[in-house]
Amino acid sequence: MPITCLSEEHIAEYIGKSLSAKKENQILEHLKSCEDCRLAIEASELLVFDPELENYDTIDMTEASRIAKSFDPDLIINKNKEIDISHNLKKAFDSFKSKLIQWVETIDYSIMPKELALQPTRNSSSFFCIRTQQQFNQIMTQLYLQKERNDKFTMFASIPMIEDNKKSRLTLMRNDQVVASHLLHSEEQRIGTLSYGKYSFELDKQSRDFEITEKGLYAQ
Amino acid sequence: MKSSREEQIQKEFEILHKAIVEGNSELLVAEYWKFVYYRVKKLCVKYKVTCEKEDVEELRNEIFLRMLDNDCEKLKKYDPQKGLLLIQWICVIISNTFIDIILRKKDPESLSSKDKKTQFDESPHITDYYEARRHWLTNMSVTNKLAFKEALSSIPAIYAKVISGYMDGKSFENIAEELGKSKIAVQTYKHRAFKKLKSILNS
Repeated sequence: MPITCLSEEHIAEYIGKSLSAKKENQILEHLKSCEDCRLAIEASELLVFDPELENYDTIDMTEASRIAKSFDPDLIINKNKEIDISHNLKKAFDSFKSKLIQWVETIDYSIMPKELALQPTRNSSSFFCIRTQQQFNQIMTQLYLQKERNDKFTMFASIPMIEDNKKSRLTLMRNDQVVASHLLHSEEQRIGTLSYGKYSFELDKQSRDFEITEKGLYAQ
Repeated sequence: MKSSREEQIQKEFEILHKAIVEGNSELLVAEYWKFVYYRVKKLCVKYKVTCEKEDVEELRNEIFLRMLDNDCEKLKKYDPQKGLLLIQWICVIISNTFIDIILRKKDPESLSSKDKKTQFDESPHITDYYEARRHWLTNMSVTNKLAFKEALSSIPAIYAKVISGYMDGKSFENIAEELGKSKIAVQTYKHRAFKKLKSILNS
């Protein structure tokens, strides 16, 4: 079946070299006689293969929010609507179950937060917090490190009450050995007592490394 | 630690998920607002199209509208298995929209007839397309005007106000001020109004 003028999907498949040999030949045959489609391919390739493709500025979320609202000034979001997406896109969404998106950094040479927005834990000294994102929902999985006496640190974790049924498991490791592993829930849970050294934790198949030294906490 | 490509892919899926599943295009806008603007400019330079800043902005807005229309239909068509990143898929949308509007000089009567492809003009100007459409609207035959008026009365009132203002030669800023809306909202209404009018007149 000869291909009539190319859709964006055809152009993307052609440029991405994901066509079967038969389809590619059909497109090449079509391009021989269609100036418009040759132009479409040329313009797309100019942008797609631009060496500066990933060199661009973004705008801040406040402005983005204002602009986004303008694109749908009368929007009523129906959160219960069925979303019709391709199998490949659905599969891709499902594979990104969670993401660790933010460290609240500590002040240099101290296990103290740079931002004072968060309240310290019991001994009013030290913590860090990580915000995680699970299944593309913003869930504040909070991890706290509290400095105890004798250079020990206690790690706590919790998730919001509404996410109690998510069954997130936090696993703490040191030197590839599991130190602690807990299912998280809304009440602050003690994960373990740490001393100076390198650790990693895993949360929903995402992992992060950190190190506690005499000089402070370093996230990697 | 993940590679930067993996991080890029993850970021792109976050953007897509938010726009398609959650109906929130903020991340998409934040990430690609300037990107789309400068790619339109790049195409203008490449194809020697004269364009003012406002024209490029209008075309950029048109591109975002096309991405978001019909529940992000174009974004849903992105297939990660096809060898392109989302940013590259957006490049395809940008270039196709540019060519559709500028270089093919869509027949303004395409409001009620199948789109025609025309030869390139020399030194095309972005405003030519918009002016051509405005000219057609204000110089319709009596029969077409009647049909158009009837169609106008059956679309949402705010769409009709925008089209009326547009036909009177008012700028988007003026119309926005009169309606108490942003300029982008007015462009959105205009875009949606033409789509509705097209489907009414075609039927």
